[in-house]
Amino acid sequence: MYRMCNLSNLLNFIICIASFSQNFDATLAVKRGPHHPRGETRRVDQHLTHEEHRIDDDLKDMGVQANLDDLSEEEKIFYMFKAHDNDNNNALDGLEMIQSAMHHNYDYFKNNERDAYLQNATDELEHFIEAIDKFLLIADDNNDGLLHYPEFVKAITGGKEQPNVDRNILR
Amino acid sequence: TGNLSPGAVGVHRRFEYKYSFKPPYLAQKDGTVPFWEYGGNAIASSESVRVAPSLRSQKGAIWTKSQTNFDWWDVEIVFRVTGRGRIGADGLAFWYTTEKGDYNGPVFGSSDRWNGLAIMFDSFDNDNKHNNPYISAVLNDGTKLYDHAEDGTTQLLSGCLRDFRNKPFPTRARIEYYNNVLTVMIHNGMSNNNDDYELCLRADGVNLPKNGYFGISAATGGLADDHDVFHFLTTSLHAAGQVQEQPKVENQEKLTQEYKEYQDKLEKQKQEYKKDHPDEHKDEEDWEEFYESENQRELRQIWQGQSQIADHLRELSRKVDEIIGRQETTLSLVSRNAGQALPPPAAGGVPQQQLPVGAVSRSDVDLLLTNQNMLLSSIREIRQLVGDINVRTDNIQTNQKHAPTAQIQSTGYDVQTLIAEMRDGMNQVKQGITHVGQRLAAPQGAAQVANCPTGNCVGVTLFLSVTVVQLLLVFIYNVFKNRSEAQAKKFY
Repeated sequence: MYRMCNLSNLLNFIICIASFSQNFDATLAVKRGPHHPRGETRRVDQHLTHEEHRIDDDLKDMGVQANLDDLSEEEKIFYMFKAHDNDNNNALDGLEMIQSAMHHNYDYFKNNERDAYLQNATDELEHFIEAIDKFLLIADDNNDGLLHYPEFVKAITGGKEQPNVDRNILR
Repeated sequence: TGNLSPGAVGVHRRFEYKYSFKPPYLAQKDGTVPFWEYGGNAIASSESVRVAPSLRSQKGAIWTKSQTNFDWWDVEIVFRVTGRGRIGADGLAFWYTTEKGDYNGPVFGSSDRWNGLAIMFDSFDNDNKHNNPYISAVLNDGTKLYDHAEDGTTQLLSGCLRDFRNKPFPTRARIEYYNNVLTVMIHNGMSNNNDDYELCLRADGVNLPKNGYFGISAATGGLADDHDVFHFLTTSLHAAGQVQEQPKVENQEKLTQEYKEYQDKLEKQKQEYKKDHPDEHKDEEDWEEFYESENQRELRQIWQGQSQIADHLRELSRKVDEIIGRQETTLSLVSRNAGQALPPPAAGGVPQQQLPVGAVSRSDVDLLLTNQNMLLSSIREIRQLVGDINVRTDNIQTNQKHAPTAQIQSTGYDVQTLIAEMRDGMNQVKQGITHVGQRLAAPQGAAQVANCPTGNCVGVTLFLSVTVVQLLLVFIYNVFKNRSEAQAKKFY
């Protein structure tokens, strides 16, 4: 499961964490089976397919005219970090990561009815909050609630996959 | 923003995103704010929460869904209260209470008889003491009614007089609670430097309940202001050592350097994009000036002038601080120099000074010796040269003596050769004569001993005549040879 995280970006990692936690949570397993329309397989495939498209959209939003073919992998990671650092304080916090996840899953809510939309939005939000908490636990080395660029790069490119027991107790 | 409170030095800070909200995605597309719930007349958008709009008798509030799970905290609020006229109503309140308050309550939109802390930004002057807008802190244990008619002055913990209405930039408040010390700092919204905070109030020995709710509420009355909150950022504070610090990320410096490089490249790309698309990035200020009346323009110009004066004063203050620093440095150096002046009069200094002179004199003597040696060698070389010159002069003199002789020799070359050849011939003749003489002497001896035939021998006259003929032939040959050589020379 975690090998796929090394291939991709923050979002994919969050979704991997979410899918991973999904396997451990019985209620979530009951709620979302393998045949759920927003199931694990479809989501991962869609994210892998549309990764370039999302980065391109983010670059346009930032006002940068750059060709993705000319970017190195490190530059893509940087632009992904910068695109969601909305207050420009050189760090990502939980609110920005929520918006990153919700922003990239907007397509799922486009064609739904209003009531279904609200219910789905709430479920998705709780799902992402859970994933982000696990991600911060893993990636936030100095435990300041913020994800700085070195921590971000390390989390994206792998390195740690087990949370610290002491920190877990502390939280 | 840095840590402005000196009491919080060495404290570990952690951002709590579940007790915060901020733009540009403050509210979701369904209107909800994650981790918060709002009600009454409050309106949430992606950029801000309008807790109470500028209509009469409006009340609204927004509260966290969960209780805090930390003991000490620091909350930064960025808000703006705007309305027509010099007087506005009613005000804004920050809450930290054990229970969530109402969304249309009597105290600035929230409940009375709260248990906890309220920081009130009171716009309207209810007690006619001309001391509003006022910022105050009021504690309550759930038993007291808020004295609205007296603006809560009888229940006041502490407060300060700050005008937070109609500012060019959003007003900021930092409310810190650590080790039972409550500190409120205010940014008056007159500059866009986020660090221009001033101390509003500080109170010790404040006991607040644990695990409360955060909230913001606002209300309007007969007069009505807009009450907008843009940021609510909560940071939990932990004593140093309480939180286990993890070692830094590997390649920290390398990644930081990489980040800076990418940042610079990004800025360049943004500027290039602006150059290529100038129409898309028109500043909002340009649009605002279109709707500016003359009075507003004059007021804005006055404000800008005063802002520049304030900037210059701040810079002058900084320069004065630098001068004071330099003065202290100079004084410390002078004191050090005074301390250093003691060693010279010591007795040990005098012989130390003489030793270098001796050493210098020795080296000078050595230099003199070497120079003299060099002079001697030079003089010897000069002597040799002079000797050579004398020798050559003598040679020149001898050559000059021989010069006329050489000229004669050159003209008399043929004569000399002739003379030499004649000498050779004469020598040969002499040798012949000597031989002949010897032979004559021998035969004379024999003749004396034995008689010679008189008719068969060569006579003296015959011998001499033959010799003369031979010499004439040699002479004629030499003359002929010289003439042929002369003709050959003429021919060439």
